[in-house]
Amino acid sequence: MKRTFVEKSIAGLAAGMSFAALAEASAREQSGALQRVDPRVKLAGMFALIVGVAASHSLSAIGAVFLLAVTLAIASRVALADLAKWVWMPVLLFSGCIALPAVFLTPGDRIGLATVQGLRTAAFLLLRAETAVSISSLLVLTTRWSNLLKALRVLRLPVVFVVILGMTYRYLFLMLETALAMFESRESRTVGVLDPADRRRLATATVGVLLSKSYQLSSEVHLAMQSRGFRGEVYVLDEFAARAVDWAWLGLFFVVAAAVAWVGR
Amino acid sequence: MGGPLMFRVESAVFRYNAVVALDGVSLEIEEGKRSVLLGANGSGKSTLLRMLDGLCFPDSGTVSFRGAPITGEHLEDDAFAHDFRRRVGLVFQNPDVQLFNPTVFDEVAFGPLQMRWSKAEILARVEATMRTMEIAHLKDRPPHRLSGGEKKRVAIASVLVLDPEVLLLDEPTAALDPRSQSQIIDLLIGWGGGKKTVITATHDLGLVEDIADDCFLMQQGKLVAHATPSAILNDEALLRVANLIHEHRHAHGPAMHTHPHVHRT
Amino acid sequence: MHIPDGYLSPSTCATLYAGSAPFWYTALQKMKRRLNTQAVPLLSVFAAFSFVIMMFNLPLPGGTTGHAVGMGIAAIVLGPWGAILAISVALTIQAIFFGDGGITALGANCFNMAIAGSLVAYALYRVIAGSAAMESTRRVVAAAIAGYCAINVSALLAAIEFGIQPMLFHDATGAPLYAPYPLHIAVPAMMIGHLTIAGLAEAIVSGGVVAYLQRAEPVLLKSTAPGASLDGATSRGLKPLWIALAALLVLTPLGILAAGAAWGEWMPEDFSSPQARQQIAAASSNQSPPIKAPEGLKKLASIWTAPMPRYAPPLLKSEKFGYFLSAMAGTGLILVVFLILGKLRT
Repeated sequence: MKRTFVEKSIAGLAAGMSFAALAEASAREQSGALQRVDPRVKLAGMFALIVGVAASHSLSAIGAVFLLAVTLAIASRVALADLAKWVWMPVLLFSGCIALPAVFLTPGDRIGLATVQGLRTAAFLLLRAETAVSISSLLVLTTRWSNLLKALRVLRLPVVFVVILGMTYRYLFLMLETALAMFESRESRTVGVLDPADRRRLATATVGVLLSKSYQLSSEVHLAMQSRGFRGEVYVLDEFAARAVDWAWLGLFFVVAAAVAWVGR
Repeated sequence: MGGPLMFRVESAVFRYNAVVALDGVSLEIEEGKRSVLLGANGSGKSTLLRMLDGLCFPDSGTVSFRGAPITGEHLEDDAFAHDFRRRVGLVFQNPDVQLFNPTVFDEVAFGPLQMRWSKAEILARVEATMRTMEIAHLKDRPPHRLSGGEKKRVAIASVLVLDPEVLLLDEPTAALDPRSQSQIIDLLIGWGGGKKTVITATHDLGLVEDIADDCFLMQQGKLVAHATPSAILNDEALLRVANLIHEHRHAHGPAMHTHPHVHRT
Repeated sequence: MHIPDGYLSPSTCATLYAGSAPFWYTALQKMKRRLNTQAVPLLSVFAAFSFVIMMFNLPLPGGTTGHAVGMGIAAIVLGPWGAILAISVALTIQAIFFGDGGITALGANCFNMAIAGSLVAYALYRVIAGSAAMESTRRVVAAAIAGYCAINVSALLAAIEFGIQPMLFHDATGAPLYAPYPLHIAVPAMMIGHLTIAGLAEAIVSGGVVAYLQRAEPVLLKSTAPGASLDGATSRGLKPLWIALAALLVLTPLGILAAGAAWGEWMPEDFSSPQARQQIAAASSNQSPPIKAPEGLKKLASIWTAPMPRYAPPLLKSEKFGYFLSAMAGTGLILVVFLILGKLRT
């Protein structure tokens, strides 16, 4: 049955929230390998890996990193089924659509309707996308968001940016819930299907109401911040302490990243 | 009778968008007293509370804290602002406004961070406050995964951690389940005996006698009465005028039966 | 329109990160001055709002759905720099947390949507709305047009970034290493969707929300209404400039009509192709070009990985497209630079 605009939007919003719940639960899994690694190490190391994968011109090297990611996922108690559902399948569908025509359209040595070059380029695209997204998913699934934010400070990201990022994440869920509630209430008050013009008006009104609420919320939050002493400077407290094993992990990430890029140069 | 004067408000007028929120209010709050600002929604009690916390300033009239005027300019002075923000704390009605950090720990630590306390002191005070408010187990929880009662406790903790002399609370029991409500009420009772100066804004008549020694009745931006809680609660006519109770009429055969009626929220 | 990892080469990504950096820096500097104001929570809440908007599928005329980015309203309510930050934050969360858009490609996505999108939307809104009254329909129309153009400029930039990949980055066998489609495929593919569906969605959201805000919360529209900066005299002085630039934009398609490669920009192969030789001669007062490509030309031409001869036909076609599109993008960016200069002067 074709879903209405409201139903589709509700589904989308709810999906976003359930992935977030999954990520939080997964990050709290104490027995996982990656969960215990210093967030700063994970951030820097995984970024290096993604860059290495991006720079590499060797399919097998990129494939090796993908396998490494799968291994790390298993070691960190991340269910491969979850990874497949939330990460691998969507990327396959999206990149697959892009890569498939390239198999036939790319000029080169023909085999059947496809070309060797076409197959190679499709392989690169798919493998790079899947590997990169696996690495970043591992980062998110094994690190608490608040720690991730604090780790970004180490990368010299401005404090105010990190604070805004943190606050955005926090209010994202409030907004998702509000939007969901608005849609659900409309759904319960709608009999039959609305014509497109009405749906558009509904959509823009929803957006407008959400915007008004956002503005009011931000004014109130500003007052609450001032009430507890905020006067324009933002400070963050972190409790990171790198141990020897963290440095080992960092070394591992960087060596692999360099190797992938070098092998495929 | 009481101690030195904490707050003095003289003929404060405040307009917001063509609405007169405060229409010439004058009152005095003594140190160590527990007071209630009693009034229906729109009576101006929230505005007055915010004014006492230096979040908005009167269009005419004055507000002062321990003899020092609370004005925008005065709060630009670092020393005064630092002192004032620590000594006076406001718990907002809507906890979502007050919980803007990624985790509960960060939230409680926000105030001390703004006060530039040392890391060791911050950690110690935050841990102690979280234990007092029974939220230590929620330390790493993001705010969107807290129940209403938990959010309220975190909000209170985030203010208490600074050990303020004055606690301002805006509708502290609103939208809480009965158990959470009684926990808050116990807290409010516990602050009696001159330990802190507490000013609670509420329209909940059932709350008043337990938590306050002094009651200010507000209606449409004006202070209409100042007496002990029991005196005000027993004055039905006054309560009706202030829109805190209403008359409920039903028929018994040919006779009409009227009795005053109050809704508990 | 979020570009994932693996579609752009590291050098493209690095360039776009570098290109975004000055804008981010400026936006943060501007924001710093307003830190003690409502800026921090406003930007955060707005970024969250923009994120949620990107999840709405809007019903469009014709029965399809599209989704907006919110760059139009962001620029109108927050101003250009606030919008740059807010949308960058939303994109960062999408990339890191939801895997929507790559991490190496974050610079590119921010450049296209957060930076170019916001600046174009802001510039067009200010120019078209002029000094119209706060509640006027002109502002609604201005917002709609601004949103439409902004999202299309973003899409165009993304398409160009995709389209130049196969030309510049391929392995020894000639297989493109990153995005596989050259300009003449990438651009139409992206633009068709955005000129129609997504552009319309952004226009509806921008215009519709401004209309709603005019009634419900006009204070939100104040910061981009006249009187804030750019006094009347200055905007009048710039008007003829805008008209000239707009005319330029409209006239660039005429560039395609000019057949053959532009004078002086021949490739080594052109010297051996009879058809190209004829064109060169015709353009050079009927002087025949040398029989062989000059050695120096050959050497320099190969600094940029020379496309294989087989690629020439599609590449020649895409060169013309490339011209047209670079002109469009170039003029668009010039528009933006002028606006910035204008602001710096006041």
